[in-house]
Amino acid sequence: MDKKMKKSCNVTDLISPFIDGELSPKDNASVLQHLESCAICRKEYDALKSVDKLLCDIKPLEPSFDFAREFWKKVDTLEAKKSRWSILKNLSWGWRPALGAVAALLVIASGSVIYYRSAPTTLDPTGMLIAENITLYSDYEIINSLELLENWEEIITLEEI
Amino acid sequence: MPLKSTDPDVQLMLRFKNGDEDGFRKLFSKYQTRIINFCFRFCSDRVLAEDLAQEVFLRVYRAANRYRPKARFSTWIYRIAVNVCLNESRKLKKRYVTQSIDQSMSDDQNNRLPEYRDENQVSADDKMASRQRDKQIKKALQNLPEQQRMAVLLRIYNEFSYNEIASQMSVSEGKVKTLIFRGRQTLKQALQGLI
Repeated sequence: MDKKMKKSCNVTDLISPFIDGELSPKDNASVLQHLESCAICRKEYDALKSVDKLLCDIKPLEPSFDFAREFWKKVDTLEAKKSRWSILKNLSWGWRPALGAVAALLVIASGSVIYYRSAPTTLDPTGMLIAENITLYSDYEIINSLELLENWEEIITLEEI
Repeated sequence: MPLKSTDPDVQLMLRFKNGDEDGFRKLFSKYQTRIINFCFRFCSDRVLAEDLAQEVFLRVYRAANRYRPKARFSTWIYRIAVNVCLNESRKLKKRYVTQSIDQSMSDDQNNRLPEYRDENQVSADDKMASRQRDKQIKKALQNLPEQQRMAVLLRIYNEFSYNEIASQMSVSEGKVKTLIFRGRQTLKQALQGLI
């Protein structure tokens, strides 16, 4: 029974943060004191320290000989893209007033076209007559003088006087 | 809010931000081995690790204009490394799942990355140095769920505080504590014969 109880300890969970120096000064002191008296926790502490040591014992990799060269190549590509963009950007800023004027002209021109195309066509009665009888167009002068013909009798009378 | 930092690496990054490329070159040569090793310990593939490390430095390079020192430079660059590695891991998992649709999966480890070919095993130089023990340790590390592995790597190899790891992994400090505790317990079991 006693042996079974001693397999775990309340402090065990604190050993990992204790190793990492992440406990409050108070907890740190109590774990330190506990380790001196508890064989189970001391064993746990040693095991976890061994795990850390094993991981750190693996020799680190050295960068391959072309690592830096490859990286700077990527940077050059990035810079080239960036400079293309900045050319475009500068161009648009430098030409901004001219582009603005062109845009304004386009707006005015297209507005005018739309206005004239959509405006209703109003024809005078003579125009309507021509439209309905287009063959009379050649006699437009006569048609335009119909009013005179209507008053023809009066004109003759006046001439007689 | 940007802090006035005494961290010399932050000063180098600020120099780079102000147009001095030498600042970046110094940071690159200082951190390249560390970042490659961080990526390698995470993915266990040398070629992939170097690609990921290059991506990390490219992100640092591109972020110069927006850089505001809020923490140590190392905290910031490892945060980028964490994101790059986790993104790659997600991509690989997706591809791995797609490829495995018609295959019977005998390996039922939860949250486990596919075992990538370890370039060290085929490299002549590394063949000499590669020992059974190292393989066992690497395998134990690879078998950890990725968040535990990430937290363990940041703590044990790079000695970041729980607070810094929480910021790098975008999780709470309590979660970091749990991840590291569980990671160590799993490693202890896996490396029983070596302890």
